[in-house]
Amino acid sequence: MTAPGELCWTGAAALADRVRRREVSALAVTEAHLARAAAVEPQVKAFLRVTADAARAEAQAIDARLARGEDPGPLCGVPVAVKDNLCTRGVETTAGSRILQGYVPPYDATVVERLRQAGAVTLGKANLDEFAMGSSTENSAFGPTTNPWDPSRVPGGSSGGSAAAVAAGEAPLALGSDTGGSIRQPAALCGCVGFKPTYGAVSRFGLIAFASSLDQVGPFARDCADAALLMDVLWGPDPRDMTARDPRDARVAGPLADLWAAPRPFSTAAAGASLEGVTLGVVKEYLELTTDAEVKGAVLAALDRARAAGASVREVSLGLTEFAIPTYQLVSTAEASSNLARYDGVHYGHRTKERVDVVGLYERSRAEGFGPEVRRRIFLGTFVLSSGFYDAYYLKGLRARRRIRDDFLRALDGVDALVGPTSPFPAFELGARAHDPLAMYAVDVFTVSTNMAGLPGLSLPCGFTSGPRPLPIGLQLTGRPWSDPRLLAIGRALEQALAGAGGAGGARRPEGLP
Amino acid sequence: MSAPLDPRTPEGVAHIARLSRLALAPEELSAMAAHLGKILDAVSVLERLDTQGVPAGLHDEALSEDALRADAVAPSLPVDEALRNAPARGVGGFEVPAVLAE
Repeated sequence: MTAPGELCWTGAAALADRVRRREVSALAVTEAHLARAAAVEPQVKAFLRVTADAARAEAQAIDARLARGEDPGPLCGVPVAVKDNLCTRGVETTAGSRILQGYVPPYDATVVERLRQAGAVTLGKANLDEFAMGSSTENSAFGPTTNPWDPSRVPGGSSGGSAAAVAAGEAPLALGSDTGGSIRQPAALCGCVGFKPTYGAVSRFGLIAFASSLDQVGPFARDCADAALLMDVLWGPDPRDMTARDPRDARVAGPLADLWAAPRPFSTAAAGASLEGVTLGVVKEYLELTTDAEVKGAVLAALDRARAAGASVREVSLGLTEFAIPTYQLVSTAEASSNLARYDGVHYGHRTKERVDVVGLYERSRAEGFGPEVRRRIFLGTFVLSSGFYDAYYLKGLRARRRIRDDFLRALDGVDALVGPTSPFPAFELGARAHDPLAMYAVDVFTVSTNMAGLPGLSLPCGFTSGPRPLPIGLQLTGRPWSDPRLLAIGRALEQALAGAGGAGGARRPEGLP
Repeated sequence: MSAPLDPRTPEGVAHIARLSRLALAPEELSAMAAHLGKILDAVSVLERLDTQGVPAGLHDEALSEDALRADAVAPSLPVDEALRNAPARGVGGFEVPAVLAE
């Protein structure tokens, strides 16, 4: 019999096995996580709402199915936190914005539906920067989440609630979304694993749109094996999202189509993970831009471990790195301004109380409902797309994006993955960048290009800073399009090589939490 | 066509705010102009990136014709459900202020 608290530090795969074998009930697993959330939420504030009653009911339904001899699925009784920009039927979904306060979706996002079909229990909705626009979760209209390792610091963002929930033991798995680093960067700052799939690997139906050509949904977990377990549930085509493709089709994934043909391609690849014969390309520019000596040191030490485990490491160059953030600014805000045009005070969401004509209704409802960062991005995106500036800014951005993608594909030629720090520095203080938008944008220097190039990206823990309150350090791996199962398997092999190295590999628990 | 308004001038920034459908107070308009100025300065590094002849299309993982689903009839959201989140609703529809003058 495991103490209830220990259930909160048991991985998803182990929990699913134990519930399936009826060693522990799904309800007991859910209760343990609800108790953990009740204890740590006053400090961490990872959730905008914990749906305790619904979670208990879902867990009891899993237990009833097991009692009837059914197999509820690969996530049998596993609690999952869901980022609050993913629609959940009957459960308020706000995207961290006042403009959507009180919005109750009449449908589930495809990824939420797939969680339910896999036997998972949804614990609640995780905090985020408003409309996923930010890198610290401080842009949430409902207050910031704090870093489980140090409450004076940010968890990263925009999926800061999802990352913090997993790192604090409130959920073994979480869903996030990543438009410019919003899964990988908070995973790095909170010391967990975060994976952004190849664009098109996972359905975006029911994901509240920010920048549609960049957004992807992906998993958080405490190790790569659990992230693989969740990816096996999430990926695959969806008739409701024409950009969600079937990589088993060689017209989509080319020679990598075979990788996806196994029944559970991610878990299968992760189970046989090895660094033997793997070539990693360490990105010269990313190391040069990493001024934090401890972050650089942890990444270099991880590469030594990788070599010792059989990998070969060579230096590669991403010569267009300085253009990444400006290009992302143009492309992502243009798409955001179009996507957010739907918030009009008419169909759903906030409506001004002022008595005005219909255009005034739009203008006031939007100005009252959107926070300052969202207003800035709508404004910039509108400018970029406006008559007279479209060619010089938006088209230029699209062409620059194409060159950045080509730069990545060239760097990936002959290596299995690119490697470097996920973030140039560990978690920063709350408020340190909140009043300087450009300083906040700069945080994503190593992550935005992955989205612009449509590539899969993974962040995994590779060490800690020194000092009285150690902070996690994340290492990023970037792969070729549709190499996702292989990339996560490389991550798995690397985390095994790092196990025991100063708490790297996600095994360490945050101190100072209840 | 007249020359586009410089977005860093008061007239230019008010024009973009109108296109954005955002009712911004005067002090926020000037803050927005200042922010836009900083972004445009930062973005100006792209002038050094040669994009002549580079296609402006999305990456290859995006849309392609064989991603279309079968054209099959499926149930849609009932009207009541679709209207449930509307801030104001009339008879089977969304309610808005009068668009046409009386």
